[in-house]
Amino acid sequence: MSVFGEQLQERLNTLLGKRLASGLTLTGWRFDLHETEDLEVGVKNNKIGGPYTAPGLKQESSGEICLHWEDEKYTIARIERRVLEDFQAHLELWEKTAYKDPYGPELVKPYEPPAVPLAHEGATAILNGEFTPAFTYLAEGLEIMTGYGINKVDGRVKISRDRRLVANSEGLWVAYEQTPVQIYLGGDDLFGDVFAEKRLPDQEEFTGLAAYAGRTVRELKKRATLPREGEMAVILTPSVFEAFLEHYLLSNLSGRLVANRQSAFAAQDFQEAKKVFREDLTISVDGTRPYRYSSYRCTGEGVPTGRADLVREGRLVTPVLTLKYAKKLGMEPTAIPVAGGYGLVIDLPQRESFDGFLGELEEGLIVYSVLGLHTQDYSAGKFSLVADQSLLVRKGQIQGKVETVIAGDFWQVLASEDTVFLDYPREETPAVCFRAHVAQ
Amino acid sequence: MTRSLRVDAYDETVEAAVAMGRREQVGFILRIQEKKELLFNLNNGETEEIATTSLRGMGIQVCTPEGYTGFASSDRIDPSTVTELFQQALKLAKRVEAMKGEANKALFSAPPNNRRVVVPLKYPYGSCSLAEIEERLVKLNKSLTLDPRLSVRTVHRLVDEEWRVVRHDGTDTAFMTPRSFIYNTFTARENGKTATTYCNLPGTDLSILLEPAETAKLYKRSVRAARMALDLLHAGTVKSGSYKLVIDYALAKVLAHEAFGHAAETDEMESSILGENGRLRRGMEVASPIVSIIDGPVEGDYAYQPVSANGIDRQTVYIVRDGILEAGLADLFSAEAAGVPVTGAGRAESYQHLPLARMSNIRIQVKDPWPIEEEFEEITPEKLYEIMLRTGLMKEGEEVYYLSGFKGGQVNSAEGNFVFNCAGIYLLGPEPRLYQPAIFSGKVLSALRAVRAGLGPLKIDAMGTCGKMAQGVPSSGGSHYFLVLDKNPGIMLGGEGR
Repeated sequence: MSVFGEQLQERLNTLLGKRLASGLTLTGWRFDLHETEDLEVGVKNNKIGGPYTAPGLKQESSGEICLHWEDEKYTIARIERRVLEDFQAHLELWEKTAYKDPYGPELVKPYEPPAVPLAHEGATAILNGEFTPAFTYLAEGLEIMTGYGINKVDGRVKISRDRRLVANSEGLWVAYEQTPVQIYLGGDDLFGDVFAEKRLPDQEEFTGLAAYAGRTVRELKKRATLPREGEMAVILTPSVFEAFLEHYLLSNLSGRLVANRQSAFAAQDFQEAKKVFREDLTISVDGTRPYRYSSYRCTGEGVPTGRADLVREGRLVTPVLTLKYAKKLGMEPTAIPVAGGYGLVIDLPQRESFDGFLGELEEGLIVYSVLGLHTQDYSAGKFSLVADQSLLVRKGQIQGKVETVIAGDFWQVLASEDTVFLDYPREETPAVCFRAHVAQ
Repeated sequence: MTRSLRVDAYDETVEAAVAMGRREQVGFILRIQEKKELLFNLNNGETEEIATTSLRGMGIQVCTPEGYTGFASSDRIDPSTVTELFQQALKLAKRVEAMKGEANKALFSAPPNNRRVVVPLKYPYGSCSLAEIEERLVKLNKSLTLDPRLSVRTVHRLVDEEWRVVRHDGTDTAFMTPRSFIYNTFTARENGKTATTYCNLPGTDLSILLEPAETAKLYKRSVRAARMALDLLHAGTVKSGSYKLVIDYALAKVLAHEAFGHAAETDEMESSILGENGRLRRGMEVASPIVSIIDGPVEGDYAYQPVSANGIDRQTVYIVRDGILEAGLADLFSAEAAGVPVTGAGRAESYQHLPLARMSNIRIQVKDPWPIEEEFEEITPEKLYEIMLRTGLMKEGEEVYYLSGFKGGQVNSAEGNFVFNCAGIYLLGPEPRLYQPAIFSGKVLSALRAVRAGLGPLKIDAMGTCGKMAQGVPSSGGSHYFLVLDKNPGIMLGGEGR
């Protein structure tokens, strides 16, 4: 990566301050380069590595470049390795695609970002040719899942090494390596769960993943009947809650949407620290945690990672802001959430135990999957969804799977004092219980 | 004389792959991709971003004589890299063999193909200055700010993409998959309430921006969507339940794609509701006898792909003919197990991906549709009500809901559940009443059996992106302007409680 980055830096630096044939003068540049290698292999219908899940090694060098020209003009382009081979042709295209942007950001000054550990030796060893563990995960997962009576196991292991370089003409040069790892295991087309971090799972984590997926599928294979339609307790498991947070909350916290009046929240709401959710709820982004999937050292623009509260004690603090939208809204840029709702940190002074709460539940649903979340109007906050994989609970006991339509208002869920947040086994994000309309 | 393609430049790489195949005595599929892309993003009359993308690379899928597969890809395209990738892929295939993984020898039964498809484009990538494109988009965006409560976002994407697919058996095919769209998003805000609607116009080149007939069509669609966003600020919600419904062609495309097309893809036949013991249940009655469902490439279409990612010509397939399941969407590797012929359905997002069985343009065709002379964009809910009365498809005072526009959908092919969402819902009547969007959900076969009539000619330009197995490929389709669905307990309009 450093060779590619150094050569690109050299080419760009020779242009700085020069007036080009198009009449444009380059005043600055930044780029965010990734040199990635992936090993991916899957299991489909209990078989490892067929034509759809064959083991694959992938290599790519790509990234984003942003050129700053005189007169508030900017160029943004996705680039790949051959940019250096055809540099002149690319430059001509970049000149043509320069656009005026009065809110175009300044370049970040050089600094040393937090040294967050993000590259795991075990993952690196696999990408260096020790492929066996990747296959072993699938073989072991298959064995554990079939032990739960699962007929059809599907799964996937993806291990990556990303050598990243974020640099700019001010002298910023942040180079680091990270190793994202994703392992998915699912059964009988009913339910699956994912491990995603920047390290390999330990044995307990991996076994826990496979066992949780297996147990849940086993429960979902038992059928029950919804006793009635109407309002009842609905528990969103952490992965479903994260999907809701991503669709509704993160969409509306997008700096771009706030600045362009396309969010449920107005810029003024943040300035006034408007209270929108319950008082004990704080939602943050934190990119500093070692080996977490959502961690990184700096954004593509060079903004350092960090922890930022987006909602503090129920009040709006800041949208998620890149340099441009920070400038447009007159606010500070923020760390950027990675991996959607999974990258958010939910802080509450009190969470109840999931198992304890379930044991006391008179009647309700545990929702493991919904269909159609992406089709909902993020700005309105309302939802009306098929909960295709849900377990009915009566008198503290799981009865079996029901298919239902759940309808409600996610803003109300986050605002209501009656909403209960539950500590869920193996998960950092809580499960959330609230009352919603449930129909067959 | 055929026009040259950028992917023609890689003959030496192709020769190196062929030589490796001969030396190692194994089969392979080499995919070379070249893509250029332009993206414009405008908000409320101002250009927010113009971005370009340039991508090229190759992926090689190697298959041993025993049928074990390995894959490797790189963004370098040259003879030494293809040799290196070949060796990596072969090593991985042997690893699968050692693990007693899945074997599939279908690659050795595919007929060779040397088809070359160059799509004629009136206004291809590079035919218009970027300044003119930007100027036209800004003008369009500004013209749509019909009300101070509206925020308007316009996205325009133009993709110039070429593929070359080469196999050990002499196959060497090259084709273009050009595409473009303009997508407008309208967000209306008032007193803390918000509503968002969308509209789009897909195509293959810059005609969508430069041809007056196309821009007029987009403008009409946009004004309709913008007004709907404003009206939704004050709209109520529909009680959940089963109703007689009218859906427009965009929603019908989602019905065909999400609710049915995925279930007909043969790589998921082991768990599909249209399969039994892994084989397609041909001859099964799956829809009303007036309904046929067809999938196939259409030149000039947003999702056009004439040749599969495995190098096999893509066929137009009657999945359902007159209500009876007739064929599957079969790629090379799953057709035999599903008991159907290969239809060239394999598609991949990029050179880095392994192809899956996918749809292209899927449409629902109904026998003896009621004619409509006007353009679709001219049919208001009031006019639709009149047409419904005139054709006898509804009676005065009957409760019929018209679901307009679509916001995507999702399906569980194994259980036959589907969910779609629309932009807005009208209760048809002399003065149609608008309601908030609500999901349209239910069982796939119930929905298809409920189709009672089609209104208007076929319109198949509803666009989308299909995200099967986390690979995004363009999709499209439609139906007659409108489909009428009888009330059926297996399909439900969501919303709040009764």
